[in-house]
Amino acid sequence: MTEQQPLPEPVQRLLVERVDSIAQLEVLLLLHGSTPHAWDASRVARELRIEPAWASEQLSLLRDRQLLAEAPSGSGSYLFEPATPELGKAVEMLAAAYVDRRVAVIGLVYSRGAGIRAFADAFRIRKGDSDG
Amino acid sequence: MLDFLTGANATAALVAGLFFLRFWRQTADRLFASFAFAFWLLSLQWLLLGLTAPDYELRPLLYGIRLVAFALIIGAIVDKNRVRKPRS
Amino acid sequence: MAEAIYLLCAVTSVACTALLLRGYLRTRARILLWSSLCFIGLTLNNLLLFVDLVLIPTGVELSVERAAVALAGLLPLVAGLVWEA
Repeated sequence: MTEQQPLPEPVQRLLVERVDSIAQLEVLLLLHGSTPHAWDASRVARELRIEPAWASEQLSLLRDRQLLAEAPSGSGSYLFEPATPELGKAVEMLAAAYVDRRVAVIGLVYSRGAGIRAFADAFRIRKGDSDG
Repeated sequence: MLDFLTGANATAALVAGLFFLRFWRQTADRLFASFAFAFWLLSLQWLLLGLTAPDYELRPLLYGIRLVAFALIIGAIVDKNRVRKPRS
Repeated sequence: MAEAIYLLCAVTSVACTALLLRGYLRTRARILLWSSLCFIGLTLNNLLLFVDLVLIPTGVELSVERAAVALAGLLPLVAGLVWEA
């Protein structure tokens, strides 16, 4: 087993720069795995068993980070569409790493930027159940 | 003493804003952009306080800058707590 | 008018302080502790400004104290940001 080797560089960069949480990672991999199928927040929420509001926010965040695009039909659905081929390749590698070396991937998601995320999250007055 | 403190505040707020700018780039979370600009406005306010005599004619401008800074922070908190509905 | 603005700013600072402290108690992320200190400083700065406006007739100016409390809040924030981030 290759536990001691670090994860590939593109995967590390992808995780540090564009993935905040395991939930977000799951959303990304869900959409990546079902390309070119489009998902909207409520279906993602049902599939992953998370709050629809949370799913919606993760989808827009991933879109802001150029990993997803909104579906042309404009129905609030998103599909996996990375902005560059390098990004697409990195997500491929991430998907493989998540299967083989899940602990390493999870560790990297949580180690970096935890304080920064915590700062932004501190301003959510109610966690996960805000209504519009 | 006062000038020193005012200058220190202006610099510290500027640096804090730079960190928030970096966090915005790292996370794409608009909250950090708002905080960056808010702290820069506070820095500007201290800069002006330091460079000008205690001239009461200028006070409204300084109040205005402070107000905009805190309005940005309020806006960021409100924005953070609104759910983004998918466009239909 | 100015009084209302300073009060609003003070209230906002208090709210930020409270949210950041709550976040710190939940997550123990030290950056939240430094940020809370910063907003406590800004709260005191705004409150002293408000007090200053009311006290002006007596000729007492709290400029140094105001700037000092703001700095007392900003320094831990900047130090924390440099150290942690």
